[in-house]
Amino acid sequence: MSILTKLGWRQLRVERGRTLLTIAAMTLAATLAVATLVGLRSLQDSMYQYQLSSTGGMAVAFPATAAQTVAKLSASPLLTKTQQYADEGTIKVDHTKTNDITGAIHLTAVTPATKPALKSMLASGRLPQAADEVLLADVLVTAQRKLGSTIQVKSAGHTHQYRVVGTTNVYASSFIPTGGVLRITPHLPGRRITLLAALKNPATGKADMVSLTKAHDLPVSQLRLANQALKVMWGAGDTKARTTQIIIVLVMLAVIGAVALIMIYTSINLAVQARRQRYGLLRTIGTTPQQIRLLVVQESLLLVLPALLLGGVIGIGGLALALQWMNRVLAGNELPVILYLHVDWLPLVGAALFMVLVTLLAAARPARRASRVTPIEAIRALNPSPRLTARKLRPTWLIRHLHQPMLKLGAIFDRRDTRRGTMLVLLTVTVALFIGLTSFVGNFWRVFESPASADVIATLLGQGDQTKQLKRTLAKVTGIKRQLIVRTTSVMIKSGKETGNDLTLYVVPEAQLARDFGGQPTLLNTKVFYETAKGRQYYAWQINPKTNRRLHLVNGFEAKKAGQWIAPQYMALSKAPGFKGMLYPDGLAGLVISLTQFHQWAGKLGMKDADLTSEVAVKLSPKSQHTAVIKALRSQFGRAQIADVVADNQQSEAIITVVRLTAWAFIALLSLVCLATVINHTFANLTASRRSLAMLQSIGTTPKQVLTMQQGQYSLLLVQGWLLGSLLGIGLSALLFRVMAGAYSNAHFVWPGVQILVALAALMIVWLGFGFATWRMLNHQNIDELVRSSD
Amino acid sequence: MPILTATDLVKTYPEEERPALDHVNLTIEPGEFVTIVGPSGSGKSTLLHLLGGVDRPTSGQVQLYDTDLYQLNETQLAIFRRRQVGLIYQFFNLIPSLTVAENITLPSELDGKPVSEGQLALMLDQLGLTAKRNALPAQLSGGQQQRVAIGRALINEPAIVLADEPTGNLDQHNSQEIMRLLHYANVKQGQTVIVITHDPQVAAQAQRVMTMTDGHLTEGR
Ligand SMILES: Nc1ncnc2c1ncn2[C@@H]1O[C@H](COP(=O)(O)OP(=O)(O)O)[C@@H](O)[C@H]1O
Ligand SMILES: [Mg+2]
Repeated sequence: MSILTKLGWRQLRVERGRTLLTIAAMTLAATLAVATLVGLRSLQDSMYQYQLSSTGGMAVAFPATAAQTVAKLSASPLLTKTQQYADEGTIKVDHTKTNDITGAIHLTAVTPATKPALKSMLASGRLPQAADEVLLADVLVTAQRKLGSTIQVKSAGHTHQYRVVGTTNVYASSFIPTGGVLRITPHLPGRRITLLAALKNPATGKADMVSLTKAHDLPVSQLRLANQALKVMWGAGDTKARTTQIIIVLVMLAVIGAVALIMIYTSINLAVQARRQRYGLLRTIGTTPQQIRLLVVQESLLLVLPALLLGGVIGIGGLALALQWMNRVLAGNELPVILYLHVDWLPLVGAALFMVLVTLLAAARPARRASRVTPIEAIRALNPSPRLTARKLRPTWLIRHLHQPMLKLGAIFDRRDTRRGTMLVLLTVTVALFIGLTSFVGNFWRVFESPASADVIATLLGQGDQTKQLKRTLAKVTGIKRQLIVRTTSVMIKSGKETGNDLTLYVVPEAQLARDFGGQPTLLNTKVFYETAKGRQYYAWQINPKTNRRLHLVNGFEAKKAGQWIAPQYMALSKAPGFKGMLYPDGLAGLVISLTQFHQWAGKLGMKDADLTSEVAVKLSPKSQHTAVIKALRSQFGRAQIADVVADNQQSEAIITVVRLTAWAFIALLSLVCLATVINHTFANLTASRRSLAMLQSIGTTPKQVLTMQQGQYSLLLVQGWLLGSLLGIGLSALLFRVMAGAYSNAHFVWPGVQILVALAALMIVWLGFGFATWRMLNHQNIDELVRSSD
Repeated sequence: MPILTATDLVKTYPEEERPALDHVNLTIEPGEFVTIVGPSGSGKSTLLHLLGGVDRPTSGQVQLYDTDLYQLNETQLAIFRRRQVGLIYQFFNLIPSLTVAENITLPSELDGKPVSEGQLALMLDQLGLTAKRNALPAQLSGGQQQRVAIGRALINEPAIVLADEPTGNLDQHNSQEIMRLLHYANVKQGQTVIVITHDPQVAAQAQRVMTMTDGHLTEGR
């Protein structure tokens, strides 16, 4: 070990507090890098698995071919698992009621390996176990031919008897044909066998499979690939998707890199500043600038190595926990995605290289600075006084008006602190990043969120007043959080600015209108997006309350009737008791009136009581109750139109939830890294001012007085950083929002008030921690030693 | 041939009106023992730093034999300091986290020439620090710390030893001990020694005394 390395080590051990703090900060950055890269890899893998769940993990189906070719194909090292099926030709089943089936019905033999895929295709019943059991496409089910019945199948001149043990969903997205009859057999007959396979390298999936198909003289046009899944793994030959995803990863890395760079840079820089004297001394005895530079870089690398190891462990461990938690959230919401932790060398090596690179970059400037320290600095400037301009020496307004002597001193120190600039920039960036990103992400997924609506909506067309029966039916099911039962019909606005708009009438009992709306006809208004001819988008009330004080309502189907003039009170749908969250907020505006009012207007509108449709909307908790509610409604009201919002939203919600949780985790970690930098900086500054504090103490300042001064000084900085950061954060969020609003019309900006308060709270905690650390330091320092020593 | 020549040396600090060194000329022969005296603030330290290559003059030259010091780049100057000059300060400027032995051998280690055990033992013996070899600077007295600094200055057997008030912070006994070491370097090892001092007793021990007043250097006291 060279003397310089030894010196580096010794230095790190002597300044244990700072070393540990720096390692901790670097560890956070490494954790962020590892968790992000491994996390994205895991997310990619999980999405791939999710996309392949309907095909039982199979990503490719080769053109049908003879058994020998299938055997040769199966031996390819590019394929991992394989399954097979064979088309046994078209068949005739007895009693075919062919009017709902177009084209011939196929009998397909599949190998037992296909069972996972079959399971996901199953609509009812179970999978075949015996040789004479089959699955039947659900569209082929008739009164005679159904679950449990025996069917005659004529194929290739033979007649077989099979028992139907299950039905398959024709719409299942699987490589195995779903429209006919399926039987399971270990030995596939015939010369037209289709090989299904899972891929070893999905990333090169398309290209690999095309060449494999060509190599076996099979028609490439008949090759089928799970393109959605391969796209996720960049293996569908879709360069655009690949570029987008790479750009996302690069942007994330750039953000992490920037934050990690600032953090590592400040830690190294602080250490270098604290050791200027040391470097000067080394220079007087003949250390070359290069050697000093090497010393600094070496020290930084010594710190980043343990940080990388720790970061790897914490990153992967944390990710495992986070995924487990996310899986619980997903399962709790009945969302069909499972997240797998996927650790392989690429993201790990990537993260390590990334951190080393960032460290080298971060160390470059401090190292150059250290190498430029002149020997004379060490000899002469025992306590280098900072360069202060005359402007800095003049008292500010604040200093003149502070009368508490220690606070005044604090303000003076704050004004003359040469490190203040760096610290302020750091604080501002931290606060701005936190506020900007969280508020942007908040705005971003508000766009994707399915609008707050009921979970099940049922409409009973032309069945008269069914409200009582509906109430009774719902009373029997559990899990109903809220319900809205109302009678509705539709009218048209004839004059006024909004002529031609449809308006839904919600007819409620007299008592309900009196209680919730003061007995007034109430227009439930919603805000919607409009676009001008020039393409500018804006968000406005669907029916402008100012220009539509009075509305002329008519029956769209009865042109001859006079219609009814009304002057409704306006209310935002999002505030309407009973209705909010139950109707689509971006749907049509509605008018709530009482049954009496309806009957008064009915003549002029040309309507009668029977025109009112009964409607029910329910909100559920847990959402999984949707099937039970629908079953109950179905059994009672056979002809009801039912919208199962839960089922409709499930898939998109699953993906949104995953993305959302990931984004939050990323921002949380990022903010933590920034905060760690601020803390690191704060404590390094504190250590650096040890000697001057001791000097103050030596002339009789009490620790309490010093504490007041220090905290006064620090709060000036924090408040300024918070204010500037909040302003910048709002700007950042607004800027990102503008970029996004161009692509999604239903976006609207929400002010990041909560985030600003959260940032303030975090800074207050840092402030308290700083006070505590100062207090401890003041009560433990050896003043005599500090004042006498020169280093 | 003189070992050290200063020609028309001028040093004006930034934002100062009067130069700290005003056209100083100086020739020193190999093996001389020179002391420089003068009031505080007259420019003694400034001159010493320029002779030792730790600062750069505003104008003028310093030559070691034929080499013009300030034509060298930073790296070359650093190597010059490491091999040719031993600097000793009034404050001891030791590295607190290194032991006595490590502080002393630091310049040679930097040069990639590890000091042999025998050589180190001899040096420690000379300095009277054998018992303290593994102590840290904080565990030493002022006189001991200054002896460590002298050991560090002498370990590479530099041609020139420059000392800036080496006894300024020490008592009588320790001062004599330090001067003994410097004389030993001069007489026994033939090293050229230049000492700045306030102490008349110290100045009296030199062959040649020079006086600094307001940036001007004159021969004699
Ligand atoms: N870094 C500096 N900046 C400005 N003036 C300096 C600096 N160092 C020394 N001086 C000034 O140069 C003059 C000579 O100083 P110095 O050489 O230290 O004197 P001496 O060692 O004789 O006491 C003094 O007036 C001192 O104030
Ligand atoms: Mg001096």
